[in-house]
Amino acid sequence: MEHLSSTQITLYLQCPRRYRFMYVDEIKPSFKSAAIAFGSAIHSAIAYLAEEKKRGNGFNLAKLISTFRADWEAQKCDELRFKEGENEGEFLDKGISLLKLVFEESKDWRIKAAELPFSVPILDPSTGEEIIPVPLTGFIDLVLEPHVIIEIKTGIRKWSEENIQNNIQVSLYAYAYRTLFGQEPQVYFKILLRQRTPRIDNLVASRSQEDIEWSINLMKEVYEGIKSGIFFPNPGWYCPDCEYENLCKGKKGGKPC
Amino acid sequence: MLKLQITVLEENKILGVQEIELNPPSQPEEEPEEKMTDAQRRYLFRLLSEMGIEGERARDTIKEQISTKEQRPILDVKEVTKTQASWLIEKLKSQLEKWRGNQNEKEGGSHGTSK
Repeated sequence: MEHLSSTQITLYLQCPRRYRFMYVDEIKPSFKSAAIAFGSAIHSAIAYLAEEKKRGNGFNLAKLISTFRADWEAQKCDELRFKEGENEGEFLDKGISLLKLVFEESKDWRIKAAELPFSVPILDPSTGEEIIPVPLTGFIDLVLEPHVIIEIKTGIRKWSEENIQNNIQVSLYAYAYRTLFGQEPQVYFKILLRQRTPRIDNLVASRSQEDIEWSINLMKEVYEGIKSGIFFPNPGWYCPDCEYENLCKGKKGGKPC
Repeated sequence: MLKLQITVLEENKILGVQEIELNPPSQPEEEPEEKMTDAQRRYLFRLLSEMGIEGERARDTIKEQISTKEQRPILDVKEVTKTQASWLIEKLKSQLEKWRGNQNEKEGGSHGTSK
């Protein structure tokens, strides 16, 4: 293992076996859920908008929408799996509606970076000693002036206070930002909701020192679980969407996943 | 060429000696080239979209272009390698620049005539 990302940590916490299939066995998934493909196309279109705005290049709504359409087409090279009631037209229409809202909001953005890559050492918050021998890596969706980090999510359901508080990703991003820039960032979620009337929820996700320490200790335990080869299945609501469901079920010891 | 000498013995008596030639050891198989990255794939579709080529036509264009270059059929966009994607990106960028140049000329020309 050369690094640890919040995606890896979140995945391991959700289902260690799925983590193993993806990161240890490196098994290429046979399909991608349409909702994930949609999220990727929305993210890349917004990142392009932010980069172009940062460079001072003219970027109009039509360009944003054609970028999203092209990115969606690129996603379609993978086999997309739609859930019952989902279809391509709905994803495209809602995506366009949501991007119109994003475009309006973006007029006030003072962009520092889009998809900011980072790689920072994982240090014990109290002693300053390295507690995991690999760096924490990731990409922060949007960084705005003066010290604002925004994590973009797409989904159908509104996020609860619990979702916001329990999200480890932004705690780790707040840690990474502080390590990189020596400043406490203001952290927000931008939740793009694919509802009948698409809307954006901008939610504050404040993180205290205790939250960050807790997340780092959790990360240490996840790292130890991975290094020890602990990869049990954790059946849950996400199994029907899992790319490895059949593989998992077919494997000895895979039940009852 | 490697040669192998086989001596056939029976009760310590040499019945015969045979020499056979061995084929040279086969070369280790080359590592398959890495497939194009997600970023390359996105960029290709964005460039094609700017040229007005979208949807199924965009996928077909990528497959046709790479098939022609490689002189073998490429049946799936996911087969395209990093090197092939870079080549096609450069080709499309240069076509797009020419196309934009022509558009500007046309616009410039039409402005000229309207004056």
